[in-house]
Amino acid sequence: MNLLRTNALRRGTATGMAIALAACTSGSRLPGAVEGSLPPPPTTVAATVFTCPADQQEPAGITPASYEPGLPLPAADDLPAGSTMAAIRASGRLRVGVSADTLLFGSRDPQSGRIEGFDIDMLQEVAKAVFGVDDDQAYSMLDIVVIPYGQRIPALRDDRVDIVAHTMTINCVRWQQIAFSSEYYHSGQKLLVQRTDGQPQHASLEAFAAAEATVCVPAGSTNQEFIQGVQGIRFTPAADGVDNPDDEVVAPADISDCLVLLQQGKVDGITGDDTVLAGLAAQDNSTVVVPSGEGFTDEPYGLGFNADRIDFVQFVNSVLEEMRTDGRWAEIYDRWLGSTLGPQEPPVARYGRPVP
Amino acid sequence: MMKAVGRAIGRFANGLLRGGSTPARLRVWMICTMVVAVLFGVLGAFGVGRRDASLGDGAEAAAQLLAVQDVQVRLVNADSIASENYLRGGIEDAGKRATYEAELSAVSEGLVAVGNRVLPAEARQLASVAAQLGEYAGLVEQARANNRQGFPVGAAYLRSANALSGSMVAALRDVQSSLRSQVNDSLDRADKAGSWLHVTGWPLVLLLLAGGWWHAKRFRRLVNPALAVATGLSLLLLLLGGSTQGSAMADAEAATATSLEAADLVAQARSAAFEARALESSTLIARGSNNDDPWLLAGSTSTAALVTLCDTTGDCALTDGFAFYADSHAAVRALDDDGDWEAAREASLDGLAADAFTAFDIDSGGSAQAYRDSATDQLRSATDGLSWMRVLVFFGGLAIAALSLVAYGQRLREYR
Repeated sequence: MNLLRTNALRRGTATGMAIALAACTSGSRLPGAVEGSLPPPPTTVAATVFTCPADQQEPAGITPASYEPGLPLPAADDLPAGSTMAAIRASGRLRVGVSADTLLFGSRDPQSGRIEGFDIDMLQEVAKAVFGVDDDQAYSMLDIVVIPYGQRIPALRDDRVDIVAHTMTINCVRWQQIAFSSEYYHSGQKLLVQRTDGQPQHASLEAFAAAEATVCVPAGSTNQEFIQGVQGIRFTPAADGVDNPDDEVVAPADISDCLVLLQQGKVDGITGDDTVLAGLAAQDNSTVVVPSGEGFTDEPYGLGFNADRIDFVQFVNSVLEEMRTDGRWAEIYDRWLGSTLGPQEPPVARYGRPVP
Repeated sequence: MMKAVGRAIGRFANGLLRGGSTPARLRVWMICTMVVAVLFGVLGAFGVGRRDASLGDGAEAAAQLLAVQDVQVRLVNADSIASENYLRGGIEDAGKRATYEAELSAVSEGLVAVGNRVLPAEARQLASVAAQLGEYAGLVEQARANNRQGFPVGAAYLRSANALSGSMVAALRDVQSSLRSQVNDSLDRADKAGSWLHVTGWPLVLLLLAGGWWHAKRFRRLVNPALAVATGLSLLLLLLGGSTQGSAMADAEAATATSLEAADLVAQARSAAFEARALESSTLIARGSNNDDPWLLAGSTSTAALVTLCDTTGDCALTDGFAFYADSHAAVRALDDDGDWEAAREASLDGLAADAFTAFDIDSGGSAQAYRDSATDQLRSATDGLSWMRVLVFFGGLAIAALSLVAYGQRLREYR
């Protein structure tokens, strides 16, 4: 009997505890934040690595030669049948690959919406020769495709554009992938520094290095390779934001980010091609490009073409040849670069590349 | 554990029924019942009060979560407007400019208001975001000034502003993550607190029933009125208290699982959508870059949030709305990829993409407000009744102890 009573109590207690436990059952809770995801990247084929063949290597400072110009320049309505120029004329537009954020060479005017600059004027001269139009109509003959630096060569090889004018340096390795016109502008690496009382804070690379000043350079550029070899110069911004000469170089991806750092007083100067620095200087009156003469390196700019369009390269070389002699080159230079970079002669063209 | 407790209670009850003289056993019954009744009153009231307080904490954390999300959405909206106005160039849209300024002002005020109500760790993060807000506004102004002069460096300032906005959003997401944990912790605490009423109440009922049974058997009386009333009262308090507590918990959990989660999802979707909208402008500003991966990531976050909303609440209208904007964005990208940047810009600023996004903004904004109001109301009203139930349980326990004193005291007086 006692055992029965005990068991009954146990059962009662267990029932009570079960009810109590049921009340403790946990319910809905707020889930964590939602995370998005990217679709898997397409399978990429390993890029071909191009090198300069031993028989095409040139000494430092010598621009690789282009194809002989096809002088005399044919009239627009008398272009050779079956030529690239005739095909472009028939299509009604010249497809051009340009930059839209390199002030003075190729940048968009926010008021007019037009992309303008030295490179664009060069392309308008080509359009005038192909279509036989005047200055006012030349811009409308351009089918402008804005391309980033990394797309300059692929855009030509994929035949997305007929010609690229994009501050592109002529070199032997690139000649293995595309064709170039003769040199249309001779650029060089320089420094952009602050100006105080009309004078540059550092008038030369040597003065800049002696002051152990801090330079900003776009990551991965040829400019970075050169400036890293100069003793005394420091780089910024550092990963930890602290200016330390021993810091690893962490450079921004775009040179206009360097101008932001210069205006914020986080760097003492910017290095890059003088053409690009001239564009930066035009955006900030308190800066100046130094030195005034030759740059630290030679950067011969050429117009780029698909490697198979040799007739078009020769045609454009003829246009450039005329521009050098009739003053049009100088006129375009003065319009965009003269006031910032000082007087300059058109670069001397080198021809003699054998036609394959 | 439960078995051991059961065995101990069984042994104790057996001793009550079997050992000692009748007056002594009466005294033991009386004292035990009174002690358990007082414990029921005190611990039961404590449990109900703790559930009340924990659910209140959860409601407060949820309110702050929604407030931080509102701040984040306003910040990314301001950033998308800044990018859009930059892309427009020249003369900005005055209405958009006014909205940008209003949103920044609301972000500033919101950060201060929420910062005063959250825990110190979150308050420090919010203060850091507030400090960055001034720098952000400065960068946008620099971008704007340079853009108006046609200087491409403005785009670099805008990039810096976008990046700073991204780091501010990341900090706000951390705060939200912490507040979500606080909501869930509060619910867990409230859940556990409810057991005090049952852990003390059911043994009391069993003790009263056993006492009544022993009483009836020992004194040949079918019912002791005081014990019967005490038993009835304890059962009533248990049922009433249990149902009030359970209902409060169920309401809070239902509000969490429905309106709060929906408000959370819509806020996340809106934030990611505004981010995507800013990225659409940024990609067009960085003309020729054509890198749409950041947009795809933000778009997929927004879509994932809206699909979850559709699955959990059946509210699928916003999913369709964002999908329509995503299609319009794809059309913008197709135009740009084909080299027709002007048409792409037109479609983004004043064409199909702009219209689709505005429609999504209006619809999702209405939904966000409705879910937010509903979640706030439901979570705050979930605790209704718990305050008076706490008082009732406390005095009920004391009343049961007094009734036990009366019931056993009567029998004891018969032995004097």
